[in-house]
Amino acid sequence: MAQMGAGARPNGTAVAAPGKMPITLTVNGIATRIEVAPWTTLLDALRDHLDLTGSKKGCDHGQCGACTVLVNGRRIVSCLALAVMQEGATVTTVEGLAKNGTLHPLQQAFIDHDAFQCGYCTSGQLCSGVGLIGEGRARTGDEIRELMSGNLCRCGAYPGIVAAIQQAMERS
Amino acid sequence: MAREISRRGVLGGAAAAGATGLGGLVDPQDPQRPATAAAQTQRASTAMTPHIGTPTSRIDGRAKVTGAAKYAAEYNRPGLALGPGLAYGYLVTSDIAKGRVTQIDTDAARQVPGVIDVLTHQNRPHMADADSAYKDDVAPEGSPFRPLYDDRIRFSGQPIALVVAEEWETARFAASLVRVDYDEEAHVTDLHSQQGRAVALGAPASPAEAPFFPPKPRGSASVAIRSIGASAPLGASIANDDSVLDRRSLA
Amino acid sequence: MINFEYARPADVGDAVRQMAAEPGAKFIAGGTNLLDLMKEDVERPTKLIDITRLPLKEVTQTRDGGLRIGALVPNSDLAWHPLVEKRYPILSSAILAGASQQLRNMASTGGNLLQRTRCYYFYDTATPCNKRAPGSGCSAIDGLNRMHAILGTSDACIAVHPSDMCVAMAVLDAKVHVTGPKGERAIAFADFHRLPADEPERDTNLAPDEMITAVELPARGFPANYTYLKIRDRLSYAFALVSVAAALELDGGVIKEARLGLGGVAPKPWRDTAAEAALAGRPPGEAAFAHAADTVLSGAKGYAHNTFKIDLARRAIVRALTQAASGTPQSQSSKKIA
Repeated sequence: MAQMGAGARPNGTAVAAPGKMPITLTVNGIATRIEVAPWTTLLDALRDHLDLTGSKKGCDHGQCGACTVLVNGRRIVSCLALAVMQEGATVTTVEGLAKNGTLHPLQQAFIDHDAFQCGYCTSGQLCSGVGLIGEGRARTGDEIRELMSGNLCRCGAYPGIVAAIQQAMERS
Repeated sequence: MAREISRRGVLGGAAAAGATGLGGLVDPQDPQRPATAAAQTQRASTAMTPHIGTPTSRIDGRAKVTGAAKYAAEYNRPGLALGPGLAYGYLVTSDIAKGRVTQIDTDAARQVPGVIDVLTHQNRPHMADADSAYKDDVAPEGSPFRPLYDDRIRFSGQPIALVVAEEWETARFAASLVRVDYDEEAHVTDLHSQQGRAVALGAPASPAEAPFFPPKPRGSASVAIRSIGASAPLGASIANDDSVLDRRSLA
Repeated sequence: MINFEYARPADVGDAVRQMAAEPGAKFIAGGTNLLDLMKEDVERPTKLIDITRLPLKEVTQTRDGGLRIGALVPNSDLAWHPLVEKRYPILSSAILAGASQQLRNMASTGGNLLQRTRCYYFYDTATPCNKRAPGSGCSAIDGLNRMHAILGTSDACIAVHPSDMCVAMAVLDAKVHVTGPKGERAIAFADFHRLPADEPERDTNLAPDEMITAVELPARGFPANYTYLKIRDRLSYAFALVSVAAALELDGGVIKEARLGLGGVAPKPWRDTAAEAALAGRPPGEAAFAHAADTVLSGAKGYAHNTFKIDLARRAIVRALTQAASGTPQSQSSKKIA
């Protein structure tokens, strides 16, 4: 049985190279100007254009949380955000959590509580945890777990992650 | 609390844990001196247990929590050992689970500005013909998958083309323009429907071969299956058949 | 993902004009569903019209004591807005039951209404799907349909609407305000989403050139007796197998008015006014609730892998109404179902 696969030229449009747009973001405190095509996600702009590879691409579909960064103080999944739409925004990645070589209390807490193994989810867990603490809503372990449920960890470091967040929350 | 692991502690623990009667074990405190079995056992309980269940300060901890740790596909800068600059690849994968690719049209993909090449089974570099080229000496039996080797489709989502481009999104977009024609064959993914085609594995020729054969059943498989409430087709095809599900019953 | 044009309109009128000029365009706000679908090549807009800077981000009280929610209010802000928590806690609870905090921070009110089904076949461009490619067939009817609908289906489509927020808005009798080239209009929530019938490619009654500007809630929010009960395979971060939004107004030991809606079971947020009417005037209790459940599910039809949803929905309806009656709404963080 012959079968055609998907791959038709969309809408009959001619194939052209996408034009790039300049955008300005404040990334980890530094005013940054890049030129990206509209189809570039914030995640790919950070990783490929700015060499900030701390944020990770786990699923690229907003389901795993490994790409979590803070935009204007809010935690988001950067794989589902277009870079051009963030014009003027303040972005904080995992690379921006430590200040002058001193670890953020949550980063230190992750080390203290062994809140990671392979480390691939860790950047997203940290940015998400910082966002959670900033929201000021989670108090109990149940609430932390629920509000962190968008960050998956295949190594299963969840107990350490929750303990680390509790430690950082108490000390902040 | 975090604790530093000492090299001695790790080696001592590992040595003690490896005391399986193979001989040649040494006293971790003094490698020149062979350890007695009793000493080995005692050291096992003190050397290893402090680390089990205890949070550990990891040597790569700081790198991982600061985002400095590098993983695959994170070496962006030109001028590194990898060469003058990076290209990006995106896979085209099979829409069918079994059959053949009869035609693969990459013209539209190649015309996208920034596309460097599109590799398929038709224009791939030379690939070895023997299984030994694709696995090491202790690999399990069977032929490892050879991507882009030929026109055969063996599983749904099988890579059938690689689009290589200067930018990742370009490769992704060009991949969506690759047109594939297939000769689709019926696939089988329900193991239990194929039980009638199972082949008995036979018995090991010697005790040395025993580890490579499934263990003897310890009771009735059909009773076990019914007891967990599994229903048709699992129950239906096995309920009255206590033969072992051997490895070669994969259709 | 195709190569698309990108534009940032200056105001609502400009956005509407740009959409009218380019039929292949789509509005983008949070992008959490649209970009996902574009990465899968299910959606292929030639142009994205970025509406995120338009002034549609306010939550304000209306003159008749209701609430007007701008289309761009993020889901997380809406769920935690003091007025919503106090006066419409069922809406807050439903929003918090869905997605993750990251997604709730990005997702807009309007986008949540317009999100598309997560049916695996809809997502897989290699399979027949009447919603994605009209006339190609429905792979789910005889395929893997565990997550699919038991109410409101047709021979063309059995997909489920995935939103939690919409189930709460349905029982609250929300109104959707939209604008387009022909001006503004308000669409009753029950009329916003469509059943598939023989046109499953049309999810809503929003015209292609219209844009949602706000959702309006009436004054009554049932804050005393409500619940949003979501049953799913995981404790969090999964779509509903069955969810129930239940709200009651009790008076002198009797149900004065009931609201009852279901998620996870139908192509649109499912509200059953017949079941609600059957509850009115009765004392709250197992008998009344079981009767309501039977009413809701009388037309339910299961497929090969989802008939369990019928009994599950029956029990969930009874449990939800019990929670609402006792004033013990389901907590979305403590997973114990009281």
